[in-house]
Amino acid sequence: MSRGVALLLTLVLARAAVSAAQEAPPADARAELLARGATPQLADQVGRLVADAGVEGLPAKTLTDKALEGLAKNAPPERVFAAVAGLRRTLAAARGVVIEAGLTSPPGAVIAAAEQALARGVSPASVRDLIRSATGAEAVSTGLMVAGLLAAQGLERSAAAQAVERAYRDGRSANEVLELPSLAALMIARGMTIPEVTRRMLAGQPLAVERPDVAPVAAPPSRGTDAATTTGQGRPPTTGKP
Amino acid sequence: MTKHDLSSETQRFLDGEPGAGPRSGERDAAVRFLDAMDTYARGFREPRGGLDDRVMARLRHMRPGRGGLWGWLVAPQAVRVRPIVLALAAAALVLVVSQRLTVPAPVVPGVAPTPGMVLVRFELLAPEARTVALAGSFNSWSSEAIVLVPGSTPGLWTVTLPLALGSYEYLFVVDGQRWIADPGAHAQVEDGFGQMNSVIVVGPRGIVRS
Repeated sequence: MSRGVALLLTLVLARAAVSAAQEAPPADARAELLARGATPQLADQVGRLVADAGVEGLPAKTLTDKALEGLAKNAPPERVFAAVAGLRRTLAAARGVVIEAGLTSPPGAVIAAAEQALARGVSPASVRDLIRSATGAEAVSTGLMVAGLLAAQGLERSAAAQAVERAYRDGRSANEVLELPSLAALMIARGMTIPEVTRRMLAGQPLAVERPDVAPVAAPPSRGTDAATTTGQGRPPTTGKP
Repeated sequence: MTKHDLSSETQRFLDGEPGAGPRSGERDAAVRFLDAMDTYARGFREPRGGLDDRVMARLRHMRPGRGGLWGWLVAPQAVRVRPIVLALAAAALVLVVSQRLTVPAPVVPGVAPTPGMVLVRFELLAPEARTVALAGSFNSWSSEAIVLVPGSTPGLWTVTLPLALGSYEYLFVVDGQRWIADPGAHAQVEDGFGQMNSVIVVGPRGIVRS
């Protein structure tokens, strides 16, 4: 066989290998799904979806984690894929909202946080306003994530975003904004109504609330069967107190 | 004609007996016998390398057994590679493999808290449970990796995790089957699979007990 034929054969094989690599789903996502019991078909479907999402600038790991969650919960493969596909759509929509707010190339964490906020009822307009009020990707993603959680805690949707905006306007850091859900939970545990909690949040007062590590306020949890009690307070747990 | 057709004198000459000579009239026949014996014996005296060379030369001119492209592919081929090309190929292979093996830093390291992380304690009151685990976005929803242990209070299961600041969705897994929400979490949100996940936001000072 001549060298020319051998060279041609090599080029054809190399081209085929490159094409196959481009069309195949990311090895990491696919392997991770297979290792967790996904069918090869589901692993391929989700792997391709994750790869496409990555190309579009969406947070691929968020999608992989959703598939892993479904597998852990023994959801049927079609349900897992539907959940991942739905999340991809909402992430894409969230990316659009973020870009409209002026972040032309948003990090995945910002997109994921915006998706959470939108999924929990915060309006696109409020998301855009919040993005414009924060400085830096960390502050933006933290603010969006906290606004979404405040809405999930029961605060009125627009008020949840405004509370975060207020905190940033008052010069609070992203770490201080992270305290807002805990403080809202504390106020609710102390018997405040949601409107009262909302009013205090919008007035920029919640950060003055006493912390339970200073004055414990929580009642002992009920002792019902399999009743989850609470998530304890950390750093460090050597105080003997949850 | 065979050797035994010759006279006894000529046979002794052919056997190499000292002083023996071929009978007159049989000299030519004796010389032909000697030439034939010499040719036969030369095959055993030939140096081994010469035999190998001849065999390999013959093989080079033989067509592969199966012929065609496949025969060329499966037949041994002499490959000449420049060392610099080999070195570059090896370096590229090492680069690709090392990238494949690089494990990204997990969101939640296994045990030791590092700066920027907060210890968070999770509790579940489940007197009838045989095992309780914790699964969530901090461990890619592995329902076996984080196991709660019975606390000092009867029926109370606990575990403490170092978590980075941020938001996490999670559930308890009782007896490896039942997924239970944490009513002490900050909120409960839909999980996309028809159930609810518990959510916490970990701040610099941990989680407020609600």
